[in-house]
Amino acid sequence: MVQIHSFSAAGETTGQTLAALAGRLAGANLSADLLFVFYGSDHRDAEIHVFLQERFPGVPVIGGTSSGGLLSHQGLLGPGAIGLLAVEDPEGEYGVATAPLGPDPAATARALLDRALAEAGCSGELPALVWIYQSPGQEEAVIEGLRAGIGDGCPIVGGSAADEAVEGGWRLMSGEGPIGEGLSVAVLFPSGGLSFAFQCGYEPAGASGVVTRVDAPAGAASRSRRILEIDGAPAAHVYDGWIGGRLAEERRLGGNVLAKTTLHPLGREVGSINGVPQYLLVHPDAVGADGTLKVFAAVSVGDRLLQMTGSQGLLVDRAGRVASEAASRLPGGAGSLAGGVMIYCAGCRMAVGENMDAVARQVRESLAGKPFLGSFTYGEQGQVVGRNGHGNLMISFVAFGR
Amino acid sequence: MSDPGGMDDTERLRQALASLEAENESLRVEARQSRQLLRGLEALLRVEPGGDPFHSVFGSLWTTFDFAQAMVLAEQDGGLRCAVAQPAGLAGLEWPVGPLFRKVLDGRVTAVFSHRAVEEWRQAGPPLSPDQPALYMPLREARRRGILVLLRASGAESFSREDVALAQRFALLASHALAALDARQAIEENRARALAAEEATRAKNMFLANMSHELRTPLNAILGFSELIEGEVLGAVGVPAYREYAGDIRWSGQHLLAIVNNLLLLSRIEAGKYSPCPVPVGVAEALQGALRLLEFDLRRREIGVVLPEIPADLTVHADAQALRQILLNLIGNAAKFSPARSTVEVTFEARDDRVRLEVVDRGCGIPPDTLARLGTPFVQADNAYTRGFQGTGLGLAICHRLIASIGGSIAVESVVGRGTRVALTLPAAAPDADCAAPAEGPLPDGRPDGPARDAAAS
Repeated sequence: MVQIHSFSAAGETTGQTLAALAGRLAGANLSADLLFVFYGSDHRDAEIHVFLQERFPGVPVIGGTSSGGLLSHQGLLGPGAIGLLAVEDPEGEYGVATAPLGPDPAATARALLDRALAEAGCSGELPALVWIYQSPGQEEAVIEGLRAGIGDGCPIVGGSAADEAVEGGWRLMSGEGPIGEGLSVAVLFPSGGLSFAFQCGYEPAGASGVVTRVDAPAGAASRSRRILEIDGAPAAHVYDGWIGGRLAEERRLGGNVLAKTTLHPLGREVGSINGVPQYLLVHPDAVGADGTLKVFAAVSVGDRLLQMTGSQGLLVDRAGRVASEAASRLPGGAGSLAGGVMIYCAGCRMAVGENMDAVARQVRESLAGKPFLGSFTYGEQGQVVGRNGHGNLMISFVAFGR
Repeated sequence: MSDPGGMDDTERLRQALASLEAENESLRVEARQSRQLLRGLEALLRVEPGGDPFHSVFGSLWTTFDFAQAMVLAEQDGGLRCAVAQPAGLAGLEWPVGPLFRKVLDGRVTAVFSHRAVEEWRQAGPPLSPDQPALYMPLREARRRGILVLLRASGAESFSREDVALAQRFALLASHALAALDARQAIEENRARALAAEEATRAKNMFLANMSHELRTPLNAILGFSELIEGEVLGAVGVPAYREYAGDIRWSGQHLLAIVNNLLLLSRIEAGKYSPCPVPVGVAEALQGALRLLEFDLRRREIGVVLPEIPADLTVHADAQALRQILLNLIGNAAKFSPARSTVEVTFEARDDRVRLEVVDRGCGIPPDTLARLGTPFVQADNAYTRGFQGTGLGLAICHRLIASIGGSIAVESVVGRGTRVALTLPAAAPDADCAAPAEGPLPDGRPDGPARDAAAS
């Protein structure tokens, strides 16, 4: 029998927040088998680690920093919050492995998968789901490394740790302690049902173009997060033309465009389900004065990029629908839901702004009040049309059945 | 929240369509898997019983899964042995039971994408690539457990979660089908055993009947001539001891005749050739009749039988001769296993439409393990109390059958060293029914086998 417990608290300092969290845990008689932990990047990781070690010795831990607070069944919690989601499943098997990515992120990811499986006592076995948390930047390589082992037969879901201002302040937390740049891999073999949903809340706006040049060494796989040209013209110019010239100033001087592009990202069609196209989003985060367009997910020469468009209303509704869809896909149906973990793009969170409480409310209603915990991230991983991948401005929910 | 351009509505419609299509796709997958499973199950059930059921599972795989090689591993001597395989060269390979196989044997379907760290593969060292993706399914049948292993080529796509879900259903169906095959086989084996047992019983009964008839003919001569000698009908014997010996011969012959008659009666009952004729029978008269026949033995061992005042009109619905034989047997056994110069007590109780007679003795009692087997032919208590008594164990077996044939029941309580209480319950006859004549004539086919108790010590 799987039980999910979610606890969270917010405070001025890490010590105060942990003290409040300890108070909430004091009344709970739980024995965790896997722990998700999310917290604001201003918190002191070492204190959080000690706290977890004392209260949950030997329990596999995965998580890290979140941008702009946390989501839980209690609502939106401010940036000072720390949240825990405990999976209590004595008959299930769980393992987590964490390490810096090093010079070969794909090889590291593959090795961490094997380590996590060994930790779970399931060497070589295909898990029900692989859940990852990582520092932003190498997500595609990480996914490739994991796919080299498990292929697409097992969903890989997760997020990229975030800070408050895209300043590199993100960290990961594991049972071994916090790290800055790295990857945590959790393998899940729950005794109950498990399902997930991974969607975006955007649609094509009409314009599109083919990537003709990226910032990648000649002869190497022409894949990069710096797009130089679309349809043979400077990428930033083409993109700004699609979205009505909103980036004129940044194009002239170069600069961050994250907030301005959240509702107007790029998209790649990654397949279709019975004729309905499915997209992975690419979020432009900066433009260069030379016309380059920097994005949060790698694209390849030859990729067709579509102008996508969204709205605050869609982003509010989407989270509840994603949670609801994941719950309904449980083998025992939504009624068997024990709780779950959500990843919500930090860019979307920024666009929704003050209405995030409505997001939390909708998710809570979709899950009939069952406990959940959500983190705001700088990249989202999941499976679209049967293929594991990395995208931006996405939302995922992993539902645990009883 | 909606924007003025209606974009939200368009996107919502698109997503709703996507959700519906996803649901549709999931139903299509479900239907396809069900068809695959059904074909597999049909293949499984087409297999004739008699062969190794694990082989039949193997035959049903090809219609259900996409794989390159397969093995059925069956439990043997604490490990697993490949019972059947494709390619056949893998058959006979022995595997240890490690962490992975333990989980599978316990019922978990497991997909493995790499065997490099799998303990079982490291130990067994099979002639297979460790990078071959595999799907492991538990198999259960009544007598043993096994594992079904599907392998894909090295470098091929791993089995997916959908494959695992399909395999879970297949393993369940296969185990149910194996159980059904096993049950069918067990039924056929039982039927064959029953037929053989019936045939053996028929032969035994025929032998007993024939032998009993053959024994009875010379016995009549023995009894007749010993009676003539004992009674000195043709003249004095001379030496008195010879006359006593002739009496012993007659007594022993009568005892032997009783045993032969019991054998004949039992074989008639078991062959279904015995038909009782239930009529109203007076209880008091039946008891007195039985006591008259036992008088000699009772007097010889100075055993008193205490009878209650039984109303003359108290009647039971029974075959008169069968009832006499039952009473002879119960009271005779009680007397036989009672110490000399003691008493046997008979009580009665008439309630509603039943009459209950109890025969209580203070003899050596019956051990509990023998109590459970009373009524089985040739069963006698085997303990220090009974070894000195004669008996074939037939009397109570016949009693049980006769009682059942007239709609009665018998219950025995006993404490070793303290005695036995036998309760006989019979259907009462209507109060105004005419009673049958006292059953003083010859017994149906037999009589208690002399003074011996059949089933147990009392």
